[in-house]
Amino acid sequence: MMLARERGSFVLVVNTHDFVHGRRSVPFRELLEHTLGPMGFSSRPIGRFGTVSVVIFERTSEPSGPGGP
Amino acid sequence: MIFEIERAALALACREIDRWIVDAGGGMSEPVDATPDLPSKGTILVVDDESEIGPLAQDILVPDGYTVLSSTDPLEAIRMLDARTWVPDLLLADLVMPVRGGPSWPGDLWNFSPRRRSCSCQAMKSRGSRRQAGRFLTSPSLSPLSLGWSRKCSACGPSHPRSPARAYSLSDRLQGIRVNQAERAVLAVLALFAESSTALAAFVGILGMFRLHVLDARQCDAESEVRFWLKRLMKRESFVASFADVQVWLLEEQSGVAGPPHREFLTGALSANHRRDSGTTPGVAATGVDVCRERRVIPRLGRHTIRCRAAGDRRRRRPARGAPASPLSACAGATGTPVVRAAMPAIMVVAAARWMSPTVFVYRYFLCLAPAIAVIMAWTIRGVRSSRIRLVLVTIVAGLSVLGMGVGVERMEDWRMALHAAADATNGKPVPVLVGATFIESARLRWPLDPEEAGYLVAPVAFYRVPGPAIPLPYDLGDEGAGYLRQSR
Repeated sequence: MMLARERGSFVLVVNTHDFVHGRRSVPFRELLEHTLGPMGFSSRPIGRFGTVSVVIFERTSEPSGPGGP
Repeated sequence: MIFEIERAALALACREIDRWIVDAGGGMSEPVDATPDLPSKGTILVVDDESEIGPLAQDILVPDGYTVLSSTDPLEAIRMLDARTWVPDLLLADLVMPVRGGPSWPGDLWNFSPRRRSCSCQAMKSRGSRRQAGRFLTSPSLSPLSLGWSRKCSACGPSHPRSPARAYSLSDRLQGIRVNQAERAVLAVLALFAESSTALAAFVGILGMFRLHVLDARQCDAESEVRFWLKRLMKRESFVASFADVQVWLLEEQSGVAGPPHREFLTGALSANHRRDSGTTPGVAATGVDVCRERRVIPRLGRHTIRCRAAGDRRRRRPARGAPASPLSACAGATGTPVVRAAMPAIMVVAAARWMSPTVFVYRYFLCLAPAIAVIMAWTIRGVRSSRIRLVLVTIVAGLSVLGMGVGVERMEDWRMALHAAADATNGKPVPVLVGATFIESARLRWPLDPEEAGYLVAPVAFYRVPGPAIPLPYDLGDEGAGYLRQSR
C-alpha cells in the first residue's frame, strides 16, 4: 500500500494454480482493486503465461473517498 | 482259451503282414516332406474316406512345413500307427467312415498309436448330411485346411458356398497375434519414457486403449478358443468344437509365437493325456461340425461365452451358473470376472481420493502414476469379453488420459515470459512486483515476514529481470493473510 502510494504503480505477478485449490482466478486482484480503487488505482491485465497471470495496477484518476490522501 | 490264443496269433500275423505292407509302401501314401532342406514342423495324419481330403491337406499344409500322411482306410491307418515307429503330431480323422466310425472311433485310433502319449488326436466330421456339410463349410471359423477344403468342395456342387470367413480368418488371427506381440514391446518401451512425461503417458494410455479395442477383439477370441478347447481336453470330456481349434493349434506352430501362456496350456493338455493314457479310456478330443449340438454343449462348459459359429449368427451364449471353477480361470481373457477386475483400479482410485483431499491426490499422486494406471487399466480391460463394455472403458480411460494431458499443459508456470511482459508493461520504470508463488510455505506468515525466508518465496523470479523489488505474497487471504496485509500497511 505504501509502495503504491509512493511509486504510483506496481505489478502483480501471481501463480493462479496450486495443488490445493487447483486453478483459480487471479488471487489478490479483487482485494487490491477494492482497496486501492478509492485511491485512484485501476488494474489492467497484461497476460496469462501458463498459470502465471500478470496484472498491472496504475493510478489513473485522482483519489476519492475515505481512502484518499 | 483257444479263442484267445487264436486271436493273439492272428494279431501277430496281421502285425507282420502289416509291417511288410508298410515296408513295401503299399496301401498308404508316403509322407510328403515339406521342404527337403528344412526339418518338418510336425507330422499330421489325415484319415478320411474321401480320397480328395488327403491330397488337399497335403497341398495346404506341406507348403507350411508340415509332413502330411493320408489314408482313406481306417484299418490301414490303425495298422500304420501300430507298425510304424514314428508318431504323428496330429491326427485328423473323419468321424464317419465306411468300416469304422462313430464317437469311439478316434479313441480306437488313438489306442493303436504306439507312442500316443506325445500325439494329439483330432476327429473331424467331414461327411454326414449335406445340410451339415454346408453349414460347416459356411462357418466363419474356417481353418486354412477347411478354407482349402471349401474351395475344393465348391467345385463339387453349387450347394457349397464360398467361405464367408472374414471375422475369424487365419490372416486376421495371425495378424492379430503378431501385432499384439509387436505392440506389447512398443508399449513396454513407451511406458519407460512415459514416466517423465504426462503427455507421453496420455499417449501411451490412448495407444493401449486403441490396441485393446481394435486388436484384442480378435486376439481374445483366438485365445479363448484355445483355452476352451484345451479345457475340454483336460476335463476328459468328449466335446464338440469346430475346425477353428485345429486352426489355432496349427497357427501356434506356424506363427512361432506359441510362447506362454499358450505353450503352458499345450503342455498341460499333453500331460493330461499322459495321465489319461494310463487308464482304459484314451483322452481324445473329437471335433465335430454340428452347430446345433455345439450350442447344446457350450452352455455346459462353465464360465465361457462363445460366439456361435453359424454363418450370420452373432448371438452369444451365456454360461450356466454355478459352473465349477477351473485352473484356467486365473487366466485373463477367457474366464473369471474381468469386469470386476477392470473396475478394481477405479475403486482404488476413488478410495484413495476419499482418504485424502481429492485435489491433492489428483495433482500430487494421480498424474504421477498415470502411466502405471494406464498399464493397469489396459491389462484389466483386456480381459473384458464384451466389445461394448470394452469400448466404454476405453473411452473413459482415453478421456482421462487426454484430460490429464490438458491439465499437465495447463500447469506450466512461465515465470520468465510473465516477467518479460511485466517489464514491457512498465516501460522499464522501477515498479514493485508482488509475487504470489503459491508455495505451501507461504501459508505460514512467518515466511513472508522473515526477510531471509521471504527470499525463498520469490525464488521463481530470482533469476529473471524484475522491474522492481519483489515482494512475496501470502498463500491466500485468510485471517492470517488479512493480518499480514494490515501489518504490511
